Amino acid sequence: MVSPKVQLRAQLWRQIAANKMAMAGAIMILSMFVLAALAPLIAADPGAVDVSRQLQPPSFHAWLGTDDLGRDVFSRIAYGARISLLVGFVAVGIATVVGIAVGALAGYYGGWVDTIVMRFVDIMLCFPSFFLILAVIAFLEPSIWNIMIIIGLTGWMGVARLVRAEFLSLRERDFVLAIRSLGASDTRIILRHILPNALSPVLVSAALGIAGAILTESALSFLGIGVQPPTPSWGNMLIVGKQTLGTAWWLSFFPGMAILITVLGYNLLGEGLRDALDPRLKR
Amino acid sequence: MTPLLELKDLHKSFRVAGGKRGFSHSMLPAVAGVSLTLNKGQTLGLVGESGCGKSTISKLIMGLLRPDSGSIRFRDQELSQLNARQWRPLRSQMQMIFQDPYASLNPRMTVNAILNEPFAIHTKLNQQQRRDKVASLLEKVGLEPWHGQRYPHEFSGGQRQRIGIARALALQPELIIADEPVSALDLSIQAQIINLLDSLQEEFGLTYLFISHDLSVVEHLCDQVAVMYLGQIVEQAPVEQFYRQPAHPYSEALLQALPVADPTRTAHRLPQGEVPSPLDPPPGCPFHPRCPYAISICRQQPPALLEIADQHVVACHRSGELNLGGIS
Repeated sequence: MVSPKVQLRAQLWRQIAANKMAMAGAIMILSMFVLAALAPLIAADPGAVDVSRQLQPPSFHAWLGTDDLGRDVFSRIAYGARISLLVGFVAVGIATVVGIAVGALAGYYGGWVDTIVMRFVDIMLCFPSFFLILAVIAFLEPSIWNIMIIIGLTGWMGVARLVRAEFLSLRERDFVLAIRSLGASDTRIILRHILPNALSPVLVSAALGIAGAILTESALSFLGIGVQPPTPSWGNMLIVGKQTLGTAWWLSFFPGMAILITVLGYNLLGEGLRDALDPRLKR
Repeated sequence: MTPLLELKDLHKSFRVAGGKRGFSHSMLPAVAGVSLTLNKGQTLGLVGESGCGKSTISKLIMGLLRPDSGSIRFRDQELSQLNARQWRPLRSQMQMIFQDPYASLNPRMTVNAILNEPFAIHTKLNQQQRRDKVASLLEKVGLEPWHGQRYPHEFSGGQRQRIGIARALALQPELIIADEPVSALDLSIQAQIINLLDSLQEEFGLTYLFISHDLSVVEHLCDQVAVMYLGQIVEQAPVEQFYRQPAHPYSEALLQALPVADPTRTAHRLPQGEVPSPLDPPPGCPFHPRCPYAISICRQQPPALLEIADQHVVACHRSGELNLGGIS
């Protein structure tokens, strides 16, 4: 007999597979992951400078052309994919963990804990987050890890609100009263009984959040305060291409496409997840 | 007979938002001076309309809510002032069965996992021992051990309620509070669940507080009946006496409202109007605006709960003079 948990997963998978847009999104993301994973096998050294082959248009030798230092654009995109995907995952991972912890505390305990915590969330939301990130980075060394941590720590408020709302409604449900009347500890109630029921909207928001984090990283790198050259990132490749946009379009076009495909992919997958997890749409 | 559970003058009010601009609030007295006794091995039926405070009482007894004042005694222990740690050992001695079997089971846990929780929290049994316990629990409530691998959504309402009963039984409690355990079920399933509760009581010597708004179910299952109206107990009596000769006009009205297969019987003296808002309870007897027998004292003075016969208490100024109709 197939275990019911597997059945549930299979059902979720079928619902996503039936959604063509979500499948398209999943394929886009998957191809980016394959590109990132296989980078050392299929791409040349992204830092190999060759001044004799500057600004070559896409050709059989350099599929996506070369940049102003003669470096292979395809190789740089493949290695840049590693950075961008990593930033997306780690930043959203931080935001999700912080958001869940804060939202669970506020929603489960309610009362003055809720008031204080959620007012703090409101304050955080008052800052335009991109300028908050800019301001913080001005004080820190712009390393890839700092970028991820800062994007994560400025993006948890939405998750906190979602989780709080779920906790507020779930903590009054009969199955939670039942486990409370069995004398379970708060930790047990929160982690084993409420949280698993509150995760669906968090999953959706995480998928959409990854798209946002990748965009933010690209924007920061474009401004020169994100990932520092010579480490390739899609954002700092755009900045190089900007100066030669009229003569060598491939320098900015292909990194831009990479960003577009990845962000679009996560957005489509997120929307598909939302539809698949929405209990109102279940038969 | 020794009372297992005794409530004395229990009060609980809830704060409700309201008033101009939402800054002020008013207090809603859900339970306003409830006294009840429940004897060991017996079943007490607590009946009343929706919103009269029945479920609040069950939550107060289970310690899920803290009373504003009054006392709750379980055996020799006062419960109303206990903290969470002092409560823990008592948890295994009283458990609750919930009304809606669709909401009372965690949708993301298998039945085995749900039934494993009481043992994981209260015992030091190893995994195999707990698995055996869960399997025997499932058999006790008329399910098969392999049902445990499934999720709640794969069961019917009646089967889910059996799972809820199994969870309540897990730690072998003495007192079970059943908060409308059958009112969400089909009529044919209701009978099965009631018979199950009946046979479990016999097997384990359980004491039930059976909350219901269905008097025909109460008649079948209970030894004692307590009637609640607007947060107060208006009558408590042994079941035969209650059905034969109720002493409170509200009890009479509830009994008269029962459908009877007798076309010659004419309904008489049903209460008029709606239940008044508990936010603005009437002065005097809470039932007087709807009572066909009300006289001037009923409008001014709240009646006390007085014993009119052995184990029979009633809160009515005219209980001595009225000759109310029951059903037999």
